[in-house]
Amino acid sequence: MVNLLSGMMAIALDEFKFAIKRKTITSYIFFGIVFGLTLYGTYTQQYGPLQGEMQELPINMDLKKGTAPLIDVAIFMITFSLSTLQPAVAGVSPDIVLPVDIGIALFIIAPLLIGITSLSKLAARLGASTIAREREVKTMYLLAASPQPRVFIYLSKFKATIAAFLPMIILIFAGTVWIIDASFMPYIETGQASVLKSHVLIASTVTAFFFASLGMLISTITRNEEGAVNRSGWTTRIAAALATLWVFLPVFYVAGENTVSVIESLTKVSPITLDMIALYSGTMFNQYMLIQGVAGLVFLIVGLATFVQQDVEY
Amino acid sequence: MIVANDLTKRFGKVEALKGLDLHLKKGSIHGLIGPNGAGKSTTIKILSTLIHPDSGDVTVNDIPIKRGVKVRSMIGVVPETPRLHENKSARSELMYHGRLYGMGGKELSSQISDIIYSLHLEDVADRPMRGYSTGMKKRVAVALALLHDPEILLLDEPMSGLDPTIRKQFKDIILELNLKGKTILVSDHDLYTVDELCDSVTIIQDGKTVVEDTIDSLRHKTGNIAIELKVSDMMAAEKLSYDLSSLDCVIDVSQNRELVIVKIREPETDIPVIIRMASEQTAILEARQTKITLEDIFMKFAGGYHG
Repeated sequence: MVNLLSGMMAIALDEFKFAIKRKTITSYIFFGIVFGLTLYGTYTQQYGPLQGEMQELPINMDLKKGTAPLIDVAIFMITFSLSTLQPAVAGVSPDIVLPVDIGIALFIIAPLLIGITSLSKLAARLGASTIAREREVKTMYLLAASPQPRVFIYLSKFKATIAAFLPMIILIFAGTVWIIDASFMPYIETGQASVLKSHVLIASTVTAFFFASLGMLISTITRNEEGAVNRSGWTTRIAAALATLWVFLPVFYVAGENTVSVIESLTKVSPITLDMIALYSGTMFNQYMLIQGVAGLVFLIVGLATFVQQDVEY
Repeated sequence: MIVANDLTKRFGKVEALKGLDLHLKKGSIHGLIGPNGAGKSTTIKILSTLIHPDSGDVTVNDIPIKRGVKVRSMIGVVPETPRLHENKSARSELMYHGRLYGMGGKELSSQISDIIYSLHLEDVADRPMRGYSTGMKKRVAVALALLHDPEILLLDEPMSGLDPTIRKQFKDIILELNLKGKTILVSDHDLYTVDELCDSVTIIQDGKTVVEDTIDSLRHKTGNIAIELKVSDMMAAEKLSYDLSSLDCVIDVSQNRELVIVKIREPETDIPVIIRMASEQTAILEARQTKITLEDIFMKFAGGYHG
């Protein structure tokens, strides 16, 4: 009787070696620089208590707090400008102390958006390379003619993909823990901090799972590796663009609330937007993670079923 | 050992197999012959579970091919053009392959060393395979197919792309494996190769089985011997062909310009009759006895050009 587990391990290890060679280190270096710099940028700011406690001047603007981080940042900047106008005119340079919720908003729209986008891109690319690469070079027959069931082959490659992007999730989580403990901690409750940390970990994992499953599905239905990687690249680019659009949603208020509403609905197609919303507002977290998780699972099952039924050429 | 009944397979608009039957006996070397596009490679791919038939039944040792895992453990496949992980060495490719079959440890290492030695790959076994010649890659593919000691070997065009020396080595390897009890299916359109290696054949054309039997039996049906008679002109050859075809002992007569080719079963009794009749009709410039080849058999049953 063939030892299926030993076979699965061999396939996963082989795929992992390939994954490491396929620009993965470059992706990690790029991620490290951009995520690290933006995170450090967030760390260098001074933070104080919550924004509500700091507001001294009432502002008369049609902005709704809590719907998007950029709105809160805008409210803070306007409030800060108005409150420091007098001393500034008198020649006194004001010290900027960001309220901690503004700090969290900045952390979410800068390092975290970059981190999750990089992670999504890596997960999708690694997934996209798996099946299509072997099909293109026609080495899939070596696996398909072996006693390893096709389901095991597919899942082993998926496992290897996860193993290759797992360190990035850990780095994002470690960065989150560091910035919360080092910069935000005195001003937010321990419970709130723990929730934010765990939410970042869950959101990163679920989003990476979603994109890895999607990437593998693309890989299953694409003839060559380059085509599969390009297609997966487009999915993450569109998702990241929609998430960025969501961040800049307040800018579209000039075009009217209806326009904002339409654009907002559109941006919610992107799992990265769902992450941003869930992490910022915290209210829809479970629902949004469930949606992404189920979608990822559906992609995985469809990809698996397609692969099992496919003809393998040599 | 392998029984395939009424196999069909369609690729888009192309119907590759239209009800193919195949029966392979344990311990035999069986040839699967037919023109290009007849469905030989498709059949091998179905037997190795790489592609799924649209309809029909296949069993290997009475196990339905749909139970892939069990069937694949019994089979080793060597493709026409083996694609390997070019950055790996033959040894590491074999190591990886062995693990897929649940093998490991010292036993796997020593088995790999043995197989590398027996296929004369020891000098290159630790070099990346991107530098290997076609012959070397083919030998690695054979090593991969043999590593788990399968009962059945499926060889798709085993001699294609090999130079005469390697072909000879390969032929010896195949025959040696058969002596060790392996059942071997050879798909090839080089009829000379199949004639040299196989005990039995299945001739296929347009995705269907035309005939399936032992080569000896097919030879008997086609005529064991052919006599080539060269006469002075084409007119005389035409008339001689016509007259000889009326003889009971003649199985088939064909004409190629001044050459008349007569196929018979019993050389001792039939040759004198034919020579006597031919020399009464016209002057025979040259008479030659030849063996019926697999090509003759193929032409008789498939009735067309192969290749």
